[in-house]
Amino acid sequence: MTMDRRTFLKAGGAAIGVAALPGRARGQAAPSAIRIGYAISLSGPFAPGAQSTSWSQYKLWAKDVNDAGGILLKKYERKVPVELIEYDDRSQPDEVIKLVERLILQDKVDFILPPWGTHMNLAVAPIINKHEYPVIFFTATALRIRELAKRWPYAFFPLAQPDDSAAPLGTMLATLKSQGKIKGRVAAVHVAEQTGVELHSSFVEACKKNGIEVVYSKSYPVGVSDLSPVIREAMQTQPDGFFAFSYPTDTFMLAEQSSVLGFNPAIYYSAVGTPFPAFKAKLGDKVNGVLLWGGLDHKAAGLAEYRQRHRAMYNRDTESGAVGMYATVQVLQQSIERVGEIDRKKIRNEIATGTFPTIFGTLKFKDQLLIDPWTVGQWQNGEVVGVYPAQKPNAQALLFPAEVVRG
Amino acid sequence: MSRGGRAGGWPRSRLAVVVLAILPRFVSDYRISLLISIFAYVAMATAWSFFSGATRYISLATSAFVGIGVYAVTLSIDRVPLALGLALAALAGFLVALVVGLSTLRLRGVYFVIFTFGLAELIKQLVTWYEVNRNKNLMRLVFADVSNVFLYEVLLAVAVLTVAGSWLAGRTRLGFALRAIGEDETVARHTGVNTTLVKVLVFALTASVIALTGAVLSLRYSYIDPNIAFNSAWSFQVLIMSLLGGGTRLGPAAGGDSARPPLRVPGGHVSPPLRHRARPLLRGHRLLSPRRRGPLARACPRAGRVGRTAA
Amino acid sequence: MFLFEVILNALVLGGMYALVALGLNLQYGVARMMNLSYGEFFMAGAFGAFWTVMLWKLDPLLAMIASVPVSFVANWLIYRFLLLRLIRRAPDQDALDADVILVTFGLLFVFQGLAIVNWGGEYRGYSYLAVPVKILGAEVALNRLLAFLAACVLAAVLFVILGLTRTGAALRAMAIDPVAARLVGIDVLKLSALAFAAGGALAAISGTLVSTFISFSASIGVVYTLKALIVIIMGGVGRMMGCLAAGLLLGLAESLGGYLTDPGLTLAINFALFLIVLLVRPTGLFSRG
Repeated sequence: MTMDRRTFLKAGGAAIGVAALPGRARGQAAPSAIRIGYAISLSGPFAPGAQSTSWSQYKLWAKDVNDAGGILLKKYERKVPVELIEYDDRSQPDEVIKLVERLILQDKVDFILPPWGTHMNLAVAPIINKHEYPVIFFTATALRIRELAKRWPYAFFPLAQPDDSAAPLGTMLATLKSQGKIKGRVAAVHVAEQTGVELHSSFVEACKKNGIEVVYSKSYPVGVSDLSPVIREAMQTQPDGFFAFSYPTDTFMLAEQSSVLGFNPAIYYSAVGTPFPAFKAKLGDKVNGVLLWGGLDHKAAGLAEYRQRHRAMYNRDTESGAVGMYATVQVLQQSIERVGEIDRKKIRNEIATGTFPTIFGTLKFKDQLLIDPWTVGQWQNGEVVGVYPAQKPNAQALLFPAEVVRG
Repeated sequence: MSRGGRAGGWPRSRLAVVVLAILPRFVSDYRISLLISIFAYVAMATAWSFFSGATRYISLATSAFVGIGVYAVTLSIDRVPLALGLALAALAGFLVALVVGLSTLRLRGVYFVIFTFGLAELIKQLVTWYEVNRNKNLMRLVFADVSNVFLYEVLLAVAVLTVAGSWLAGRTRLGFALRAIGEDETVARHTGVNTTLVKVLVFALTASVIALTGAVLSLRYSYIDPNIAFNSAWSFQVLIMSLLGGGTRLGPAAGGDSARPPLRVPGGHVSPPLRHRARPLLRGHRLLSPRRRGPLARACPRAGRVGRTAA
Repeated sequence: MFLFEVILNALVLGGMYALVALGLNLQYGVARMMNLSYGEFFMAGAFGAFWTVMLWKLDPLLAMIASVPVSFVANWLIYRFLLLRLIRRAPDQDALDADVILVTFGLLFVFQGLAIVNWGGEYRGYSYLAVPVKILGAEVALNRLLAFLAACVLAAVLFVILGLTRTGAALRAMAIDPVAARLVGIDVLKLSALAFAAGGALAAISGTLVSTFISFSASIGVVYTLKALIVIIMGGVGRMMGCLAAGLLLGLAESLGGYLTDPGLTLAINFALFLIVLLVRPTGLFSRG
């Protein structure tokens, strides 16, 4: 067989090139699996939230990755499958601390995925930082996180923080008031949980700054079974807007009880759990117009296919928080691919500086916090969309007044 | 690894304690972390069992005392030295338990049990309400600059002292008085035991141990809020541990071993039913095989009374 | 007017509490088994209703056609093959109590684990009869009112059965003193199994009804077991009307108390009332003393 000169030179060059490769990469075997561990609440009071937002996404992502052959590690020139190692933290911080230490020190996993809930995440942050494991804590929000991020370079926080989440609500109200569409009087309630407390106080601040009057401001405990007195009282003040900084079961309860009592303010907002299928189940067609915390780019690349895979695996729809969680694992994956090997320090730096296209939009971190996270979303045409920040891709205009027709 | 010696095994137990004390130098951080939890559970279960096991007043207020200890140390850590903060935790637990003890003198059996549970929940609700309304903040961040080894040694000390203390005290007249109350409180009173003093005092003392332990454990959390501090899981776990372990001195300690993390099936994730079934199977096995009786069971059944317990 | 509505809703809420507790009152008060897995059957009833609405687009109450008998049989089996064994080998009542608590605690984990794995752990909810009913000018949700009515009817039925029938008399005798009851020819074990199974059936009923207005998940079992326990202790273990009264009082304290003071204190008031009742009457409101 003859070979022309160019090809010969190319082949020769390649041979020399391969020979010149650092002996390690050539001779070293790729790991048989990339081991990713996590401790999550599979039982106890946090299990519902943890399951729908975090656990389901870890599983789906691992399946998606392994269906495609694994994560490409350039160093070994091959795709390596992902292996998940999971533990149940039983919704107890004491457990989650021990289990993450076990994953790192005993099981010696390559990467750690976060638990669910601000307090669990903050409990685990010092540990992963100490052992230099980069972790993107999706379900953590607290006013002090900006300052805490400085202590923990390996911890990343993509969720909108309470003050950023409430600010656009204030400006939105101010705009509506200046347009004469509302009088500028709102009612605000919150659940006695840290996130509820912080969102509420941030909101009150935002209102003060924007000349909006908070005519009703109360809190209620977690696990309360009847919120109709609270709704009645709020109704009596005839507010333009009702803002509930609530958590899943009370979010659903408030929706149903407002509907029953005929509470129909021009603006209705509830915080956590509003994007969930269980919320839509309570309001049916009347869900359109309800504002919520977060939001997403409903036309993001890859989102529609992800939705199908999600429904195929779980027999139910996803929700915007879960989409965000999946996207952060995509960030981890892309960082691993870009670095090409299991080098957690390099991967941490990639997460900190890189730009990542995901099903949640393009993500980029600055000072370990996400730049411009979605802060306010809304149910429109039977799906959740993003409204603020208005300059983000596919942000929709505010639907006002809420198209809620209550009988 | 034994956590306390048998009668006559003092040299052995002292050796065991010494071995445990120097162990951190030789084992990984994770094992230290694990042992921290185990020592904490041993201390709490032993203390709890010393009162509830003997007197049969089953208290579910454990989580209240843990929470009190946690908050005592959380609120004081920036103002006073840690040792003083821990002492305050123990003291706070003692005082609250005194009040609780004095107020529940008339309650017996399951009514006492549920009362203590309701009380723990009430305290949690009140602390939450206070934090939300006065503080406008539920979260408290605690960054105690203490190493795992420090926590290990402190909890080892607490556990050893609690086990030794309860064993020794159990052999004194106090122990006798407690068991007498458990057998038949009316008779005990008629034979001269000051049941009120004994009950309330011992309840308060064991509560202070629980508060102290909770306080030390919380030093590794960073984030504290009422739901974490007053987590009702503590009450149930301590109860289950003591029931499983049996009535002997080592019982609660052995029960404390059930605090180990769940099994992992190699080659993938652990399927939750396996994990969830492992625990009750473990318990079921222990129940169906001849085992030492829990503190609730005594060698001599109550004469003739198969009716409801004193209610 | 507004106050009247708050009171009305508070009573309706109290009805829910009583409904949830009635089954456990049978299991603990009559069959004398502290069943910590009680709430899991409540949860199963809720899921049954959910599937009925979501999968088959039928009325969720129809789920009871299946869930109630299933729960009855399952609880009967638990009593017959698990708890009976404990009864036979326990040296005394305290040991038996401890064993029952441990075993049912284990069952709790098994059932919850199975539910989480097979049905998923996330929140479920649906809308059913979420319409207002006007009573003397005040508005109450129809689905909640239904639960309240069910509580009243069931409590009354149980009260009548226990108080006025021979089987009821046997059950009561058995609850007070099983040894003596056996001596007068009452088949204690058979009747206990019946009471225990009936309690399980009631759990499924309450789960179905409550799921129409409160969203749930596979993890809620424990919460409702504890709620039920508080109600029956406060009302006097084994007393059906006491259970209803205690439930109503708790509902009043929670909603009305919260309204009069601060919504943030609703649960605190709840617990405080419970504690006060016990301090004043250490064996419950309607106890035999």
